[in-house]
Amino acid sequence: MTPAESLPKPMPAIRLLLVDVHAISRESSRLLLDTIAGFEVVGETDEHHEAMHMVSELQPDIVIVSMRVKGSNGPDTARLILQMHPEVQVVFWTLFDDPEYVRSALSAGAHAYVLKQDPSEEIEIAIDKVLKGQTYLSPSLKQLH
Amino acid sequence: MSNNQIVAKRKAQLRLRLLVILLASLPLLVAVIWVVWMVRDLITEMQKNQVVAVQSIVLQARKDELKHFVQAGSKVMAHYCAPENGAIKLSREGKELLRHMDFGDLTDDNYFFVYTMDGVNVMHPRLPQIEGKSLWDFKDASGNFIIQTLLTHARSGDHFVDYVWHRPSTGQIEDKLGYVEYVPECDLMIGTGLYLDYMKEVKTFIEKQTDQTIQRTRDRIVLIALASLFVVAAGGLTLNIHEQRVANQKLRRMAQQVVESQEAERTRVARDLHDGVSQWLAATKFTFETARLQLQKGHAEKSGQTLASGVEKLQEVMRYVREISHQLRSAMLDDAGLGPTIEQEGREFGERTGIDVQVRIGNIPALQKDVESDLYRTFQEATRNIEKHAGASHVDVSIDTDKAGLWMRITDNGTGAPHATGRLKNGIGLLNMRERIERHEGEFEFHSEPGVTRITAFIPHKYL
Repeated sequence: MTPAESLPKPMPAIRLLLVDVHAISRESSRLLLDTIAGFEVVGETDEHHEAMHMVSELQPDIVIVSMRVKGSNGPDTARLILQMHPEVQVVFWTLFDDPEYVRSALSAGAHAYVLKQDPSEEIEIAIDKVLKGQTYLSPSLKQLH
Repeated sequence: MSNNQIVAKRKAQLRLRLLVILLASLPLLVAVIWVVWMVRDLITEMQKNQVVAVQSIVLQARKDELKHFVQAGSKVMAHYCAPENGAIKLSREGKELLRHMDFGDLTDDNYFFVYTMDGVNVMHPRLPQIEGKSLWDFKDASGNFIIQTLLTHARSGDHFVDYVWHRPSTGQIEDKLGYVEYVPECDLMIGTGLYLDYMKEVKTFIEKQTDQTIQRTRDRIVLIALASLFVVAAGGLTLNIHEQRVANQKLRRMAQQVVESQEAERTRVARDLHDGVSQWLAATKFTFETARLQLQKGHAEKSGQTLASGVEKLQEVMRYVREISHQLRSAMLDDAGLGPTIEQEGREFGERTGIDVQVRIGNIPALQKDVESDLYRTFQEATRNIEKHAGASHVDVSIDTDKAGLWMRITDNGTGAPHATGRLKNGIGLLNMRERIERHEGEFEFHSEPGVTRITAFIPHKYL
């Protein structure tokens, strides 16, 4: 253990919960998010009820939701999480760039919508923004509109 | 079933229905002709009976008439007969009276004639030149002594006589019915005759009537038959139109099903692309980004591991793409059939490898699914071999059918297959192809020499 590592972190890590139906995507995005400094993935699931349960249990700062969720769908899961836990921020992280998907996610109350196709910096920016109380759409989406 | 087959089937059904209508109409037509013929026969028979009956009635009436006239005439004549010079003589007055006692129309030629019992004409109103002459030896064309016959009848009291006479009004020899009576007061024979043409008229009249009846009846029957035929045809036509409508609906439904299944296929492919390829690509991207971050942090070893897992993911993506492409190809085989699929694949093969590929597809029927699939796989195997081993610059692919069955030939101008090395040694593919073809009692032939390598696959007709 080096002295630097024994020092307390200047800021507590941002706690993330991953809700994504695709296991391979979940696994690799978890690895990526864990590698980014300041993030900690506290849990992951592919299923709606488990997601609700994990939000209550793990109290993440941010829930990262994909469009497909087992037993429901991304927007509905997001809506319910926000109803029961208004303090949580919801960020959509998905492959779908169709405007209808974006609209349905935003109308469910999502704070940000980021595409998996974008560079990973985008998810960092999105998380940073929503923690400041702002909403965020990845720039490639804005080009679509 | 393809649309062409449906159309062909529909045409066959149409022909069958026309045949059924014809078969239904033919007995009707035969029956009508038979009925017309029978009615005609019956009416003709009735007509004959009628002619006979009417003629006999008319004849009887005329006979009575003749009898009554002659009786009247004889009474008148008896009144004017008186003895003179020892013989009884008809007075001149009586003769003239009788001469003028014509009855009926002039053309009827009804008159009295008077003869002595030895055949001398006493009075004839139409032939005054024979008066006073003996007609005892007068014969008709058949050699009968007419006057002698009349006299015989008069004497015997058998008054009616059939004979022929030169008819004054027409100048023709005609049949005549005579009535003769011996008048004892005068010792003379008085008689009259009736030309029998009226009997012909009766016949003609009745025949004309019956002909009209026959014609009327025939017309009615034909009309009824035509109406029946029309009803049969209309019925058939209605059935036809109805069935055609049903068939069209079926065709539309099938077309819709094809469209729907294509839609479903596209949806499935889209989902495969998203769930499979895109997710794996995203995961690969995340992995490489992770590796970059790890490298930035100086964790070279970790980064290497992460990169390796990224490469694995890329391989997985490639596998997915191949699978989807394979599924799409199967879908094309299902939808478009062997010919178009091989044409398309041949084109792509040529574009990919730079080999000059000629595909000739003859007139091939719709094939059984498994035959189609095995021929397609054989084609794939063959082109794969050519690409890997042959070093060919030209490939000919042909599919044709003849009476025996279907022939697929794939020929290339590559190095051939020396038995010790190369393509034949790698014989699993060849074995595979042979197995696929022989499964359908087909024949598989592999011929190879430098410059010409040919695969011939034959499927017998019954498996098409």
